[in-house]
Amino acid sequence: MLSVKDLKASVEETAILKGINLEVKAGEVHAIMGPNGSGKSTLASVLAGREEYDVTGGSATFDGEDLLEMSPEDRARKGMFMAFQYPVEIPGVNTTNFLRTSLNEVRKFNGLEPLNGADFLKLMKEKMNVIEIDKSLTTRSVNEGFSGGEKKKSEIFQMAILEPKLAILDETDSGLDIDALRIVAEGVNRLKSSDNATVIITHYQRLLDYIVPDFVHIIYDGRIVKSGGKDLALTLEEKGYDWIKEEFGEMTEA
Amino acid sequence: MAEHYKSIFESAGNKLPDNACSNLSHTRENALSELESIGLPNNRMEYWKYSRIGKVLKGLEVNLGLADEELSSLPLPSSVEYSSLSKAIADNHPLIEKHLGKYAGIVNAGLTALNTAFFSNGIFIHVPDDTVVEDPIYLPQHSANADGGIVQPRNLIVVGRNSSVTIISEGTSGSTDAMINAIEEIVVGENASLSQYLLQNDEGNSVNGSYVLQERDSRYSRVTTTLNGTFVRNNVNVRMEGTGCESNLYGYYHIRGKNQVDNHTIIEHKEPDCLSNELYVGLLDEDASGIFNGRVMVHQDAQRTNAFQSNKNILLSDNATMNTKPELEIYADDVKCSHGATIGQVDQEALFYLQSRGIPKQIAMSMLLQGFSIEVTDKIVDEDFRGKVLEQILDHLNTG
Ligand SMILES: Nc1ncnc2c1ncn2[C@@H]1O[C@H](COP(=O)(O)OP(=O)(O)OP(=O)(O)O)[C@@H](O)[C@H]1O
Ligand SMILES: [Mg+2]
Repeated sequence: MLSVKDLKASVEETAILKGINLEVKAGEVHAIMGPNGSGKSTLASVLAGREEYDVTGGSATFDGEDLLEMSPEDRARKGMFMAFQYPVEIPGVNTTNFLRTSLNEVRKFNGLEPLNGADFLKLMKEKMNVIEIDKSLTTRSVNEGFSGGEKKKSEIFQMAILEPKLAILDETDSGLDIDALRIVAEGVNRLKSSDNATVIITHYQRLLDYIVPDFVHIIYDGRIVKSGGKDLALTLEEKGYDWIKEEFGEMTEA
Repeated sequence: MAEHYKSIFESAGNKLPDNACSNLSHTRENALSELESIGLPNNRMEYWKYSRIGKVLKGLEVNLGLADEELSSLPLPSSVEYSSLSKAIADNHPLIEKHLGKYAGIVNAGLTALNTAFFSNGIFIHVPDDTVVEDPIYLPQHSANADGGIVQPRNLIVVGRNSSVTIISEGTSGSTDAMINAIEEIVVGENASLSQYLLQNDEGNSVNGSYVLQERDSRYSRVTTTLNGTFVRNNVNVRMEGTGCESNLYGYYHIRGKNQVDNHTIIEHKEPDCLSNELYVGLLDEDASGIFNGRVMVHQDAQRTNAFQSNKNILLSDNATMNTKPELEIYADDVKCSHGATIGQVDQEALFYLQSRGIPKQIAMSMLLQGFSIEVTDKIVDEDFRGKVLEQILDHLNTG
């Protein structure tokens, strides 16, 4: 589904991604871990199409199509979804209108009829129950004045409405309380199927107790330096990143 | 040039409505001599700095034609007096004598003096005391008649004690070789409330001068939306003459081409415990230029004044310009004032966020820009009119 090969990206001439390789197949859950500043969010942003990053090498395909050539909106309409680490506040844009525009744009692109107001509200209500999000949030401006946790929940709520093929969750677990974490994880699990895939960027084993990954990757200094099964996350939880830094630190200096 | 306007005035003869008992002719003559001495505005005057007024006025003569005023056909409560100004003058209405020409200061104000000397018609509205007018009153549009030149419409609006009313006007349309020089005088009586909503979406040049006098405990709100107009200058002057007044001035503008929109506000806090609140936001595209000048005066007696002002702009093109300037003059010591002005670009992160949810860039942009206007349009309480304004704002955004 997603195939990233030797992907390199920089911002203002500074290299951040230094050759990422990642294969995600339908039905899989991948976890990406790594120390602060190692390039996790950059990878997610480049895949979602953020313009401020220059792709300087490598490739990325999504269902066989060149992802890097697509506009951000086309990536979304073809089924990619990124839950932002820091969702932006958009004053003056009503959440419900935004969600409906979003869903209908995605539907239109895929040859489906747009949902009318009533049907959309029904869908929204249904998803609101799953994610246990407060109804009042949907009447407000997008993310405006939302608490940290509410912003994260709102990202997952959007995901539940759009039902993407590939979801990349960038530290969706940080800022969530224990109950919210469980709810969000259940939401993700419920959407899981053999047709879609999830990439979870996280610092904590906690979320991975709920959403069990098939693969765990460690990013360090813009590269995936280690991949393994779910046990790798446990090792990290136990030992931290020092051993990774020791093992791979020299490589960057060389 | 000497005596230029006097000779026009003399030639006007009985084209200018007047009456025997009021001192209107005296008022006109005063205005005329002020006009002779100061002349019409030009860009060397501080108050007209950055303005295109000089260019607009070039070659325009005073137009003595009666701007035809079509009165609103909507039913009004019988308690409201609503007529053409010329009729109120002819009828010797006591409020004419009491208010007309009393608030629109002519000193150093050439265009106001011009209007006062030469106005021929306009609207007179009187909401008597203790009257709540449920439905809004629609003012007719001032239009420059075929002869071009500078046209002088004049309105007088008097809202009585404890009364409340909404007044809506749409457009002052002129043609590019004419200019509307409109003046309105507004009195908001004790504990009365007036909401005024304006939609400017026509071509042409206009200078719109509003002089608002607020009595004790009155509330005045004004929401001006400007989407078109070669040259639109709005001068809003509010004087709070009693304690406990509240005044809200809001504006949204989105202009393009070579158009210019210029909002000049003056709020005078003369008495204690009043609140004024100003919010102007706008978009400037292509070669358009915008001006905001917000002057707030807090006189010595006006203790416990709250005065807030904010002007936010987004430039949508490299050639668009905005000049924004707050002017606070504070002579009282116990006051809370704030002001802020921003000139920026569209929030790229917000744009990306919307796009990353499948919304095409064009639509995402229009959503963000519309969101920018919401803070102002939300202040239009009348739902029908708000709907209309929102629709035109969106139309305007989508026909870029
Ligand atoms: N727009 C930008 N301008 C400058 N530097 C940037 C930009 N975006 C990312 N970087 C830098 O690139 C590096 C990787 O950042 P990134 O956000 O991808 O890290 P991360 O792995 O997500 O970290 P965290 O765990 O703290 O979220 C950091 O050093 C960061 O400062
Ligand atoms: Mg990050």
